[in-house]
Amino acid sequence: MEIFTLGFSQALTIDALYYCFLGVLVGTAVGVLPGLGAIAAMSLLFPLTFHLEPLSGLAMLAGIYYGAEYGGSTASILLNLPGTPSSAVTAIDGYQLNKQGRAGVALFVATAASFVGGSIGIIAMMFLSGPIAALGLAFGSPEYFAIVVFGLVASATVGSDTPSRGLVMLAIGVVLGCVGIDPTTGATRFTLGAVELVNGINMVALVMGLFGIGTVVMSAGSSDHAQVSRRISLRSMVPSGDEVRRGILPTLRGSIAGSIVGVLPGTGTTMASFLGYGIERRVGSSKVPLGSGAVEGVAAPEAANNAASQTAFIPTLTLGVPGSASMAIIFGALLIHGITPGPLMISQRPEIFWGLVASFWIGNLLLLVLNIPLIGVWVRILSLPYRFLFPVVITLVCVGTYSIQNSAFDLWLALFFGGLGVILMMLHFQPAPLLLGFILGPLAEVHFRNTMSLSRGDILGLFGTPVATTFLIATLVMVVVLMVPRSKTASSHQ
Amino acid sequence: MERQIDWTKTAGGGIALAFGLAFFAMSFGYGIGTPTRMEAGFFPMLAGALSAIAGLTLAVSGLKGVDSPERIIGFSPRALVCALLAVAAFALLIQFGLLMAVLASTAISAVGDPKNRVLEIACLAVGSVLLVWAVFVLALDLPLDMVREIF
Repeated sequence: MEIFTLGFSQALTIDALYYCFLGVLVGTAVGVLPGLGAIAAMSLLFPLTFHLEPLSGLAMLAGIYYGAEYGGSTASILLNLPGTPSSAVTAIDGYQLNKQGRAGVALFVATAASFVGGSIGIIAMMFLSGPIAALGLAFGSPEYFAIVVFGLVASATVGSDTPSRGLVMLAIGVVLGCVGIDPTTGATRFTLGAVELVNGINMVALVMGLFGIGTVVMSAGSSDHAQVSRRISLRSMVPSGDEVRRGILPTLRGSIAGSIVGVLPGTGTTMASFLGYGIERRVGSSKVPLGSGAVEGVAAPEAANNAASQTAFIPTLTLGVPGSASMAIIFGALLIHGITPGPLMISQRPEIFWGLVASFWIGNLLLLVLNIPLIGVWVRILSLPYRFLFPVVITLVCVGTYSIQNSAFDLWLALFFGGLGVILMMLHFQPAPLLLGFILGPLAEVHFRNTMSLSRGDILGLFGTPVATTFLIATLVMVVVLMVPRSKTASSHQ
Repeated sequence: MERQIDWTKTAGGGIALAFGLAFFAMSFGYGIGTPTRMEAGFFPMLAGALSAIAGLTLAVSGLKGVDSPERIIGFSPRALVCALLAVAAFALLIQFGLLMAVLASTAISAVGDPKNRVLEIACLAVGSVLLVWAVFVLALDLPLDMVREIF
């Protein structure tokens, strides 16, 4: 299998190893810290990938992404304050274990379950990518348009308590994506005379502004870290034999649930962790009831969210449809290096694809090995005051954005999006759908155009094939299901 | 329960409406064409219309009122202003090299938190310069000058 010949030979180079290590380290640190999410860290380091070898940059970004899933549980368990949204569920039993003096065990179980979940997710990726890519090759513009629309709407609406806001952000993103040269006609659109906008709004500036500046400003002043007084010794982390036995099935169940959920666009690691916990509650037969400090309650969600974080790469890499903002950043990084994610990627750039898969293995192993001894370090990181991090992050945003093209204009763009992002976020609008609309809008346009010209202007051409029809109808159903109950129960709900 | 206007929906919807209408109007300048032979303005016109409709719908639903309207999420205006000023300062000073730009942006954004004292701000600024130099210039070997003479 190519993973062993190609993949590991690429991923085991000093360069790739170093950046993979850097990524998982930064990812875990960022996951540990409440208030600074994986997306912010990926956004900050996104410009760096421009200057690196493609595999190194991607391995780093990916490492941040799944590394954060490891780190997020640390704050959940120790402080009852989730470091990442997907670790919120872990806090339920994790913090209880902490109060019972078994924080070390909780941390160990979280790390081990995360490793198993991640591994199962990678295995799913290895075996499913080929068939899905083959399917994707059979797709034409109508199918692609339908899938992109489905993915966009799903990620904007599913799992959000205000799907209508997500759709609005999506629309703004698509509109912004129209700025620049139209690839089909060559006309420059909406540049308002600015020559810097001819190639479109710089994605890095948008990402840095929205996520780098925007989310960081929103978190500022909100977190004064609670002190973690307890010291965690290595010995205290060893779980009892009974706990190990009880943890096996929840871990496996969570891994499978997470793997499935992760492939679907719009469902993220957060939903996976909730699902893992929910399944455990319904199916699991635990001597210790969930919610009172059961290791099952830590193992299941942690396995699920790590599995989901790996399988999320499947649609992104094999179909070219990122299902979440984090995947959109990975997608963007690929584009920057001239690699078009999609069904052809495995055949045209196998060294990148399998190199990435190999780096996932290496990264997950690194995380397992690192997290156990480094727990003490992470605990100490939790006491870093946010007011020191904030200025450094802003500066890194500036340097990173500028370093792409040595263009001060990009800085002004980032400033604009930072301000816009804060305004929208304070109005309860999430920035992620905007990014997705921005990145996938142009793709949707190309496929829309092709479909319409194939069908000679007949709008029903969009429904020309069974696959396309399925996805479009699924999209409509999704929108209706999510929107209608809201208006019906508006009088008793929100 | 009394229905109150949800201003967050209205304002957010209004922003989308404004963007949508603006792009919708501008897209006509690039030619629309027919669905079979779309010109550059076709898709933006649709996208703009979509944004405008979505925004309008949201704004109207906000105005119709909900029982428990969302309140504006608190954030620190000081942090925002300082962050934006910091980026602006960087943009203006980068022509003189990284050193000044980094010092300025770190210091200005540090002012964003009132708990930061002058000494801490100074240390942060110097620390940032070292960090940026180590990461971007040394490790990544980027063509960025610490000090640039432009006379």
